[in-house]
Order: sequence, then C-alpha cells, then structure tokens
Amino acid sequence: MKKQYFNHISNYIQIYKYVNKLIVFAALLTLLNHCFTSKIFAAEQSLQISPIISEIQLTPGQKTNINLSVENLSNAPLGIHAEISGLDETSQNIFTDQRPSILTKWTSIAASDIILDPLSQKDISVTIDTPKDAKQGGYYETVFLSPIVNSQKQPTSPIVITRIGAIVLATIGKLNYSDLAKKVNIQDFKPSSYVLEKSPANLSFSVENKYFTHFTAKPFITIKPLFGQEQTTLLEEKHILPGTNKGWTFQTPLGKNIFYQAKLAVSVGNGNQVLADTWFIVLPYRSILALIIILGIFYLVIFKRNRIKKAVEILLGKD
Amino acid sequence: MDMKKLKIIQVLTLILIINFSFLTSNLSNVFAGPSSANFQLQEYGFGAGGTDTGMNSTNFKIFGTAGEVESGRPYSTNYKAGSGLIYTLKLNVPPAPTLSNPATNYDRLKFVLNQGGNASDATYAISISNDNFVSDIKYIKSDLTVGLTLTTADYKTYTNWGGASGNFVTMLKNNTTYYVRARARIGNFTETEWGPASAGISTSNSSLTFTLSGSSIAFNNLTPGNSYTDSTKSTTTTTSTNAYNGYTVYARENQSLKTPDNYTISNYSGTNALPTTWAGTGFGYTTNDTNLGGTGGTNRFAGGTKYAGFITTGPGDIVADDPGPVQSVPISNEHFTISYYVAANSTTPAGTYSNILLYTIVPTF
Repeated sequence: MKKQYFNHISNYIQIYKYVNKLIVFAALLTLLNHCFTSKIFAAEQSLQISPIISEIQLTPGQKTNINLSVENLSNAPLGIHAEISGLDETSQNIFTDQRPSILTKWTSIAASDIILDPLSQKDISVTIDTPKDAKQGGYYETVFLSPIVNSQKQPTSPIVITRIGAIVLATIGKLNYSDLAKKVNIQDFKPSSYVLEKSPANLSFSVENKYFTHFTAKPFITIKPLFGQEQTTLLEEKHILPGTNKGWTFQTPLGKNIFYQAKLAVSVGNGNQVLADTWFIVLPYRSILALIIILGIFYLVIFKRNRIKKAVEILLGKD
Repeated sequence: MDMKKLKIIQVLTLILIINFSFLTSNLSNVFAGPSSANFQLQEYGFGAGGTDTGMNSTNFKIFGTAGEVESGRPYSTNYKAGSGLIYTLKLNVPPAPTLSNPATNYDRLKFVLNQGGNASDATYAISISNDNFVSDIKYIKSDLTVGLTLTTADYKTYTNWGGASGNFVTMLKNNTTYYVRARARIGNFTETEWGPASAGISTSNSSLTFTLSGSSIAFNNLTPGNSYTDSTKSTTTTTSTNAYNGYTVYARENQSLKTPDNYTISNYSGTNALPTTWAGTGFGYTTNDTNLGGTGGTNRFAGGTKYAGFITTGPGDIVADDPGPVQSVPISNEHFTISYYVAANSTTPAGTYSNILLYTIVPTF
C-alpha cells in the first residue's frame, strides 16, 4: 500500500516535472517566436516617412547625405526593407519600378534592413556619391521602404504588403530663373471653343520644360471681360521634369459679358513668368438664330400671308 | 529839353532800376523754398501745429502735430516712425504681418498683411528673411515666389495680396524659420519705412503616414453553401501627408490566385479603366474612392460596386488617391477601402489559393 502510494507520488512528481519542463519549453518557444516571427510580422502596417520629397543640390566629386526618418506607428515590431528605384522621367504617372536612372548607381543605403520596435523611430541614411565627371542636369530616384511581412513558403491566403516611396529630386548645376523662363513654353493655351453658347468656358494648356532640370510651374489665369473687372485665379502648382510637359484645365468663372480675354502667366520662380493669352466669345447664337427664324416666320405670316396663300394655291394647282 | 532835366531823368531811371532789382531779389528770397544744388522745397511751413480739436470748421481741419521728435524714431511693438521728417500725410507704417503654417507645409507659409489703418488704395511690399533681416533679406514677388529684388510690380494692394484670407509664399526651404515685414506707399514720395517683423514661423519637413489595415486576406472556404463566393473581405488604407500634390496608391499582384499545384483562379476580366458589375468567376477588387485619378472617369468604380482584376506589372493600378493641393489643411487620416471579390465554381480544383498583393504609395509629384 505504502509502495503503491510512493509510486503514485513518484508519478505525480514526474508529471509535475514534465509539466514544468513543458511550461519552460512553451515560454522559450514564445520568446523565440517573439524574437523571430513577430519581429517580422505585423497585422497592421503603419509607417511614417519624412522627408517624403527631398530636393537636393549635388556637387560633382562630393557625397550628399539624406536621412530618412522612419517611424513605426503600430503596436508590433516591424521589419523595414529599403531599396532604390528610378523615377519615370517620361510619363505623368510619376514612376515605374526599376526604371533606369543613373542616380540609382550613385546611391547607397547604409542599412537596407532594419527592425523597428513598436512606436519607435530610426533614421535610414541614404548617401549619394556624385562622380567628378557628372554632368549638369536633373537626376531623380525613389527610395522605397517596405515592411517585411512573414511570407510563408505555402501561404494559406493572399498576403498584403505595402511600399512607401520617398522621392529624391537632385540637381547638378546652378538654376538661373531668367534662363529657365526662356526654356519654358506654354503650349495650346486655348478655350474648348472660341465661340461658346454660354459661360463658363474651359481653358486648357500645357507647359513644356526644356531646361536642364525640373522646376515648379505656378500658373495664374486672368479673365478680363470687355466691360467689368478682371479676375485672377491661381491654379494648382505642378513640378515639371526636364524634357516633359504637364497640362492644366481651368473652368472660367460665370460671366455676363460677350467678349473675354484670357491671360496666362506661368511663374517659374524668383518673379520670372512666361506669358500667353487667348480670347473667347460667349454668345447664345443658337437661341439668337432660333429667335430670328421665329421672327421671320411671324413676319411672313402676318405681313406676307396673301402672297404665301397665292404661292401655296399655285403649288397645289388651284389657281 | 535841357541837359539838366535829362540828367535828372537818367538818375531817376537808374534809381528805379536799382530799386526794382533789389525788390526782385528780395521777393525771390521770400517766395523760393530752402534749396541746395540738389533740391528745393517747393512748399513748407512753420509752426508747432497742435492737437486742439477745436481748430477746425465745417470747411477745414488742422492736422495736428504733437511736437517735434527730439531724437531717435518713435516706436512701439507694432509701429515705428520713419527716419527724418515725420510727414503728417504719410501712410502708417504697416504693423507686423501674420505668418503661419496651417497645413505644416514644407515649402510655403501663409501671410496676412496688416493694413495698419491705411486706405484701401495703399500698396504694400513684403520682405522675407530666414534670419530676422540680419543678412538674409529677400522679397515676396508679385507671383508669390521669393526674389532678390523688389520692383514696382511687387507693390500690391491689401486686396491683391489676398486681403484678410492672405496668401501663400512658395519655394521656401524646408525646416527653416522665416520672418516677414511690410512697407506701404501710395503715389510718389510717400513710402514708409519697413514695419516690424512678424513672429518667426518654420516650414516643416515633407512627411507621409500610411497604414494598411492588415497583412493578409482570410477568405471564407469557397463551398456550394456560399456559391463558391466571398466578397466580404477588404483592406483599408489610411493616409496622412503634407505633400502639396497629395498622394497616389497603386495596387498590383505578383500572380493570380494559385495553389502549390499551380491551379489558378484567374483575375477578374474588368479593368481599372473599365470596371464592371461582378459577373462570373475570378479574383478582383473595387475601391470606394469616388474621385479616383487615372483614365475612365473619377467615379468609375461607382462607389465600390464595380470590379476590376489586379494586374502584375508595376507600378500597378491606381486604387486610392488625393491630388491635393495641400495648402490650408493637411490630408489627415484619409481612409479608402479596397474590397475584394473571389468567385469560383464547382469545377475549380480544391486547394489553398494565395498570392501577394502589393500596395505602393508615393507622393504625387
């Protein structure tokens, strides 16, 4: 009985030890899991990047540094991967992935993979080593920052990942605004129709950049009626990369005049502007034409009805 | 006439000429203003004036003169008298303009002129500095950019500088503190001194915050019970930014939904430019962004009721955006929901289907 009792106790002790080992193992597993898995996995991906647009001046033969501040706004650790990509210089669609840009070859990232603790911030250092023989011009690239998501070999559901692009706009050479103004062209500044039935009119134009680097175009449109006060509107500013153009459309304010002059002044900076003008007429010509026709018919019916009657009779052969 | 009388007439004529010359000389001394080789005051007056309000009638009023300035230039926190003579008809020196950064912009600041009691036809020039006018002195040009020189065109009325709403001066450096001050003039010879400077206001850094609500999409098991369909899953994008032209979110996938055995659920046939009401099988998405950029119309997804299939080429299709401009109010916690739709049929091989969806956000440039 006693032996049986001790056996029983011994079993309990063994079970107790086994459970203890299990708890320790589970704790270790949890710790390892936290260290390896949750460090690179987060249900919510929330990042703040600054600066998101960097305008920098490069000097041939010198290094230029950009510190990208990355902040993890989620409550879980987050792995971040940084990579450099080109910036599309030909389309309005901002960029495409991995488009060739010579700037990407000059750029390096000190640590392209970092781990951010919950609600913490770190800087990613981006260095541009400009060659001595680099030519004057505008150079562009995007630094993409992506949270590292646990991508299993055989995932059981679609995985969603995000990338945030920080744009770098670099210039080699001194920007002269007077020269820039001479290299900027306003194209096709015109209304949708020169003679309109009714206001408002839609004006459209594009601005072409033939300068060696990018600039910010700031268009002012002044609508001047033949009688009355002119009205100036500042349109949305747009960056224009070298060798490209960007377009605007503008709906004029409502007016009661017939003849309007539209003046366009595109500011390129430092008070330098490129000018263009056009005109349009707001005349309800269809209504006026209809009114003239109605009045004509009315006149014929009232004053020439006998002649019309005779003509009709002749046509019908009743004469 | 004898010689004696003739001599008397000659002497009298001489006296007359001398007197006339003398008189003319004295008269010129009386009526000409103080002068030098370079200037002459055409009009001036004497007297201490006064502030006696009784010195007026229905037809006139004496401009009061409080007294001459003994030394220096009278000033207060908001005003400063010009150097030299204090003109009674001169415009008031404009008090400090108001400078602010309402949307935490990185390249622009908002200024509002302070007229200081001047008439509406007074014009103002505005100077801007990043060291409180110690060595960096520039000017706000008529096109609201910053320039090194001041021209006549850069003097604008209070209304043309934006009135009480003010205006934004652009092309500033990020993370820099700026100060502005103004001077007024009307017609010629009436320009005031520069007024006191505004408080220093800083531009920010450009920034963007992007949040995706999840990192996976757990579709329901597709069974005959749910007609092999699940359209209840979505991802929410939340964005904050001060980028002037806003932002764009692109989406793409690495491949169609696929099993390890390479069975696929194809992408839905609708496209981003021409999404359609769901019909048939496939995997697609819709967005509730009703002002979406790209081609096909801004509300082409009809508020999240029409669908398109994902593409695999970069940068992907636009699924959410805000073109700005960000000037007075930043884009703050803007939500868009991209909802998914997966539909198979009884002939679709059983298996675990997956792929990777990539959401790329960039500031619009």
